[in-house]
Amino acid sequence: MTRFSTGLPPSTLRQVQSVLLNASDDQLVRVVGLLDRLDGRGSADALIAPFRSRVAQLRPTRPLAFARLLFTPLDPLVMPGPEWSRGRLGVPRTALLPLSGQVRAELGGLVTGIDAMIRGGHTDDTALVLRAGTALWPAAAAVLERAGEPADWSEATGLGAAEHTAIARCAACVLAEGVWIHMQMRACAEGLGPDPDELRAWLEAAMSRRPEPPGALLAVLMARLPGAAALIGTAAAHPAHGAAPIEQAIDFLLDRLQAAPPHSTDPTETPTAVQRAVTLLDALEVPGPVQRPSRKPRVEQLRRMLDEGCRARFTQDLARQVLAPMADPAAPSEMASLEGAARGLRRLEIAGRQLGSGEQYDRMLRIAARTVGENGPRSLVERARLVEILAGPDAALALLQG
Amino acid sequence: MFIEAYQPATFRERGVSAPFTTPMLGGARLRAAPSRRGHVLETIIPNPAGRRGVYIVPWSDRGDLCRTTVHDTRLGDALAARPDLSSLCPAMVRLTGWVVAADGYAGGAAAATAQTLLRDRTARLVSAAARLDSALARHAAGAAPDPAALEGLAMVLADIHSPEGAPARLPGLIDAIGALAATLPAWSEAQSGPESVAAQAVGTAAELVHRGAVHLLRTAIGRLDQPAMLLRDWLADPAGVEQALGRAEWLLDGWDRLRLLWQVAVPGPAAAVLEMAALLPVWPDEVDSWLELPAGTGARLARRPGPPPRRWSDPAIVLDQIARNERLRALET
Repeated sequence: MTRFSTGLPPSTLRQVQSVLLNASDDQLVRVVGLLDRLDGRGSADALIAPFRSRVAQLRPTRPLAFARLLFTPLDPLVMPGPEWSRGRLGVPRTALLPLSGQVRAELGGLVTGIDAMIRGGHTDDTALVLRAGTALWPAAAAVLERAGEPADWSEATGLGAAEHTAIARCAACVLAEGVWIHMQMRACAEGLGPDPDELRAWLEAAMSRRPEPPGALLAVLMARLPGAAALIGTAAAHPAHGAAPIEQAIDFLLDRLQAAPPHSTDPTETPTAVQRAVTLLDALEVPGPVQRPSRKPRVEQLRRMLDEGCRARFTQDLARQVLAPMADPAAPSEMASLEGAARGLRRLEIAGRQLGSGEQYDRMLRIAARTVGENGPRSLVERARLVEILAGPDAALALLQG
Repeated sequence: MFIEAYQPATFRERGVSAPFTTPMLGGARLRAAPSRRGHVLETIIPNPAGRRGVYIVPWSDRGDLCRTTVHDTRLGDALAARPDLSSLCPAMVRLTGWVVAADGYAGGAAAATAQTLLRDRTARLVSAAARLDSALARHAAGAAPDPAALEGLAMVLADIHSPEGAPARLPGLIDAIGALAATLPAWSEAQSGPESVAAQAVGTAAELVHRGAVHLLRTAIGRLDQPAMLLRDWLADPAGVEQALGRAEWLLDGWDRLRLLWQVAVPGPAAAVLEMAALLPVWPDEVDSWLELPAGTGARLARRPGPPPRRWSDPAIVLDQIARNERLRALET
C-alpha cells in the first residue's frame, strides 16, 4: 500500500489549510474526494483535520474503504486523539490507521474478498455495509482480542503497549456485536426498532459473552439505538459485571455530550442526536440503580446547555437558511431547499422543546410564520407552503384566505 | 360513525382513494352520500388506532379526527363542491387532485408532475373524443348523444386505450402492479418477521389485482373492437356502458399509491411493505361477479395481516410522512 504524506513543513501545511479555510463547500468536498481516492491517506488527513466538523455537515458520500467499513460500528466511540485518556472508553482517531493495518495483515485472504466486495461501494449503501461487515467485524474482533501492538503504533499514536491493549479490546468488544447492532440501526432507521423485551434479552446475552466489562458496547448501544437508554437498569443488574460498565458508558456519553454537543453537529443528524441526548438525560433522572446525587448537577447543567444550544441553533438556522435566502431577490433560492430548511427547523424544534422551552419555540415559530407570510417575495402559495411547514395548516389557510 | 366490521358491497360504496398527504388519511377513501340537499362528500378513514374498523364522517366534519394539510383541504373542498358529486369516480378524484397539485399545494415537484399529467390527459382526451366522433359518424349517424355522457365515455376510453400518441394510463399501471407482484415473493423469502408476512399478503393481492385488471381491460378493449355494437349499447345506456368499461379502473383504485410506496421505500423497504399491507384496499362483494369468482371471495380476501402501529401523535413522524406523501404525488403517472 502506498502511503501519502503531505511532505510539507508545518508552516506550508498551515498555508494550505488557510486556503482550504476559504474554500467553497463544493471545493472542500472535492478535496475530501481526492483524499478518499488515495490508497493510504497517512498524514494527508492532517490537511482536513481542522475541517472535520464542516465536512461532517456537508455529508459527502464517502467511498467504502476497508478502514471506514471496519470502524463503522465504532463511530460513536471515535474521538480526537488529544481527548482520549487512559482508563476511559473511546478510540482515538490516531489509532484507526494502525489498528486497520493490523487487522488487514492478520486476516490474510479474507481481506481480498472484502476489498472486492466493497470496491466501488459507498458508505450510504447500508445493505453493502452489512454484507461486508458480516464478513469483517467478527473476524476483526477476534484479531483485536488477542493482538499485541503493531510496529507503527507508537509513532502513529504516541501511545504505548498498554494503551494499545485497552483500545484494541474496546474496539473488539463492539465489533464482536457489530452485525447485530448494524441490523438494529437499519431497522430503527425504518421506525422498526427492536422490541424492548428482545433488546433486553439480547443485551443480557451479549454482556454475558464478554469476559471484560462491556462499557464500550453499552455506550455504542445507547448512542445508536433510540430505546437503549431505557435498558440502564438491565445493564446495571447484570450478575457478572454489575453496574460498573454502564456507569462507565454513561460517563463517556456525558463527556461526549459536553465535548461535541448535538446541536453543533451535522444539521441532518442534529434532531436525532438531540432526541437521544434527551432520552439519556431523562433516563438518568429516573430513580434507579445508576442515579447518583453527584451526577445530578451535571445532568442539569447539560440539559441547560443543550436547551440553550438548540434554541440558538434554531434561531441561527431560521435566519440563515429560511429568512435571509427567502428575502434576497438577487439570489432566489430553490423553493425545495427553503422547504427542506423549514422542515429541518421543525425537526429541531420538536426534539428541542423536550428540554423545556416549548413556549419559546412556539413564539419563534409564530414570528417566523408571520415574517414569511408578510415579507416573502414569493408567490402566495409558496409562502403558504412555508407557513404550513412552520406553523401548521390553519395558519397557512388563514394566509391564503387573506 | 365507527364501523368495526367494514365490508362494502360495491366499489362505489367502498369509495374512491384520494392522493391525500395528511398521514392519518393514508388509505382513506371518499364517496358521495345522498343527503337532503343532494349529495355530500363522505370520508372513510381507517381506524387511526391501527386496529380494525373505519370511521365514516362527512368531509366537513373530518376535523374531529385529524388536521388536514392545505393540499387535502383544497382537494376535498373542491370535490365536495362539484355539482356532479353523485357520480364520484377515480377519474374525477384524480383529475381534481392534479388540478390542486398543479397550483403548488403539494410542493414544486408535485406541481410540475401534475401540470405534465394534465397536459397529457388533455391530449389523450382530445384524441379519444375525435375517435368517438368519427365512430359515431360511421356507425350511428344521426344520433344526438348527451355531450356530458360523450365526454364521460371519452374520459374512460382515454385511460384504457390509446392507439396513437402517449400510451394510455391503465395498461402502464397494470404492468407496474404485475412487476410488484413478481418482486414481492422473492423479497419476502429473504426476510423474517412481520415484514415477510406483510410482503406475502401484498404480493398475493397484487397478483390477484393484476390478473383481474388484465381480464377486465381485455374485456373492455374487446368491446372497442366492435364499435357499432358498443355505440348502440352506449346510446341505450350511457352510464351502464361507461361503468362496464371503467371496471379495471375501479379494481386498480388505490394501487397506484401502493406501488409508489414500494418504489420510494422511505424510510426503507420493510417499513414500506408494512404500510402497504395496512393500506391494501378492501375487496367489495361486487368483485366476485366482476371477476367471476366464487361467492364470498371478496370477503375472504379482505383478511390481511394486522396494520402496524400508527404513531400520528409523534409530530416528527407526521412531518416526515407529509414530505414523503408529497414525494409520492410527484411520482404519479
